[in-house]
Amino acid sequence: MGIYIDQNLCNSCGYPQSETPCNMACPGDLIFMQLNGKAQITSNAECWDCAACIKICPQQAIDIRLPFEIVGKEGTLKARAYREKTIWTVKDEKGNEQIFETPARNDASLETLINPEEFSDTIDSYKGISKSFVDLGLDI
Amino acid sequence: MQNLIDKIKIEKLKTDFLIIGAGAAGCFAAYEAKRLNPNIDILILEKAHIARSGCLAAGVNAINAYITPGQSPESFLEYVKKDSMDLIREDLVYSIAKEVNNVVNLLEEWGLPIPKDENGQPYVRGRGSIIVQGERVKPIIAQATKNTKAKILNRVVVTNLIKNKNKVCGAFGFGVRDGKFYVIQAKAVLVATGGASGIYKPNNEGEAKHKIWYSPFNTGAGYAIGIRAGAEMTTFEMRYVSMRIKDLMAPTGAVAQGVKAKQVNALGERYLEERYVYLGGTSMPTAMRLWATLQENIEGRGPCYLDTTHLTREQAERLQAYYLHMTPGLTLYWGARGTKPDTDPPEIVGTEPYIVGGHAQAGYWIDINRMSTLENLYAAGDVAGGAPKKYLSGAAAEGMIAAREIVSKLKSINEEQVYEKDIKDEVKRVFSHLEKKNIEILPDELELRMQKIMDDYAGGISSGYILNEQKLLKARKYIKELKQEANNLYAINPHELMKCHEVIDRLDVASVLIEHLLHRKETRWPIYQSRADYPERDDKNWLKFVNSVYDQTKDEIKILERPCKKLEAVK
Repeated sequence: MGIYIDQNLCNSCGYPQSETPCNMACPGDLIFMQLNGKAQITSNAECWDCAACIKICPQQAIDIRLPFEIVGKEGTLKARAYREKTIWTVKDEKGNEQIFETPARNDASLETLINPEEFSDTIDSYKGISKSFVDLGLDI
Repeated sequence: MQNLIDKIKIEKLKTDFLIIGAGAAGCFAAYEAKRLNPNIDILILEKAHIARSGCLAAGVNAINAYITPGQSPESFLEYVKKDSMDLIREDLVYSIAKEVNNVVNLLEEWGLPIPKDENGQPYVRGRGSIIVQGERVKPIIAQATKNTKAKILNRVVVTNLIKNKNKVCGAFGFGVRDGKFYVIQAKAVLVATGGASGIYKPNNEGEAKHKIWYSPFNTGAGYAIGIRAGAEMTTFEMRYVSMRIKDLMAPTGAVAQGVKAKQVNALGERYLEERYVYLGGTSMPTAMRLWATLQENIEGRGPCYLDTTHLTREQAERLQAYYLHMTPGLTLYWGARGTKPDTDPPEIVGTEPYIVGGHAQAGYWIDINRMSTLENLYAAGDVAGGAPKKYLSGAAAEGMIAAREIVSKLKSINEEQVYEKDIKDEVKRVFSHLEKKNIEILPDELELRMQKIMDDYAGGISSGYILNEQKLLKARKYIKELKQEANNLYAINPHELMKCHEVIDRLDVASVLIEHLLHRKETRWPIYQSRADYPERDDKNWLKFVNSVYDQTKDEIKILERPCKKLEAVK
């Protein structure tokens, strides 16, 4: 499979008043909102494991799980995207964790870019903010 | 059911400069055009969302077209030429080489982390390649693009170019979220989409079918709209087959070049150096490294690996982390198995063939300013032909080159009329798949059939990438039949409608590909284009380009040949 969305953790991110971060991020248009307002993936077979949705979900409700047929083991990958870094957690099937940190932006750019609106790719930019559907062409 | 089509909302927009695809080429084109003239009205069409679309959705861990210290645009050109068996557009490759470092400087200025050594130089990973920490590269490019105030229209799928006689004057598309039909009138159009994956059966099946190297969402729309509009295309027969890490199909550069892992076979032999020195050993062309690996398997010495057993535990963990910038699934792959690269070296295999001008050179036939054979239509990046190994930085460079030309020409371009009849016809073509039919074929079914035909008869993985005329003629026949079947494609929502058009586009790409493969009667690029019936490279007759033009009214693909010119001759 591709991703697993924890239906208890998903809190709809203000849907339907706003587009949700996971729905916005998926390059394959694979995430949709169910009638109960929770996010779900249309087809796990079509997921590319790009991790765009897991990094941006403010609830940390999404993780990547590789298809059993190519790994033969269970395991999950979670991530949180902050302005300057991303923190990743890899878990094997016994629950053993490995944590990684990767830089996201160089220091010079962090100093010059202070408007949170410019960081729509990070978790912190979505906390408590209900964004409108600006990306459906209304900005034209 | 005429009702449904009549109810489609039509949104008409007008712009000076329309960019199709918000990837590296498209975004850098917008940036450069706005830098030169902020008053130009620019509209970027994007199928997904600019922040995380296309090949760069997961990120990159290296920039692979860069003039490293000691190298020059001339030496870059020589390298690309040798790696591509001497057949390239030298003028295009050279113009890219002069621009790539400028692109990297901009990326760094916008925020891309590029680690530096004690002398302040980027870490050179291999010839023409430097290490970057690019997990966030796409949002960084998107942010810089938004800052230019170019307009961005996300979640709109392009379906065709708009033409008035031989001039291109815009594009049609539909919104996957709003269901609207878009008519976008423009003075100049730049096609900057990705190439085409999903034409051939992939390495993995079922739930793992999209564990492929190239983005499964790059479905050849940029090629298809050009083909249908009658733009000249070049070198589709140079398919790209990549040597990748088995199962996750992750890129190998970080391992092969980054930590200097050698290619070894099951017996532990460094086969490139020990058995294939006559092909150049470790410095043989990219295609031959894969050929040698497949040969080891055929002769019973597989599987082959990238030998990472020399790494310390700390280095192994760093390598795992390095993949989080590009293929995070591979980091999880080791993690889930409870192994690390020092004890579990990655196996290497070949991918299915892709059609992509950023790695190989399938694409629009363009002039030095990136204008296609149709007036006011330009191409840059993965869809622009003749310039292989351009990757991210080269694609961006091409976008900038095209933008400069467009900005200088815009004033002299007149607005062309868009005919109501053309709009009506396209609405019908695009949305008719939402109507109930007697025979209903789902896009997934048609995709599987197309991938099987191409795999069996046009040199896919299971036929060892080998081509011959008899099989290609069968591929031609079956793909032609499948194009008829595509009329019965049925979609229940806009997302499925997008998938219908993705498979229709890929069928058009496949048709052109087959004609190119049939025409080149030699083997120029082993694996990419291996003709069993013409196994030798034949410079006397075939050191030239195979091009094509599709005539939609007759449904005919006409093949043309173009000479291969030296850079001095072009200058």
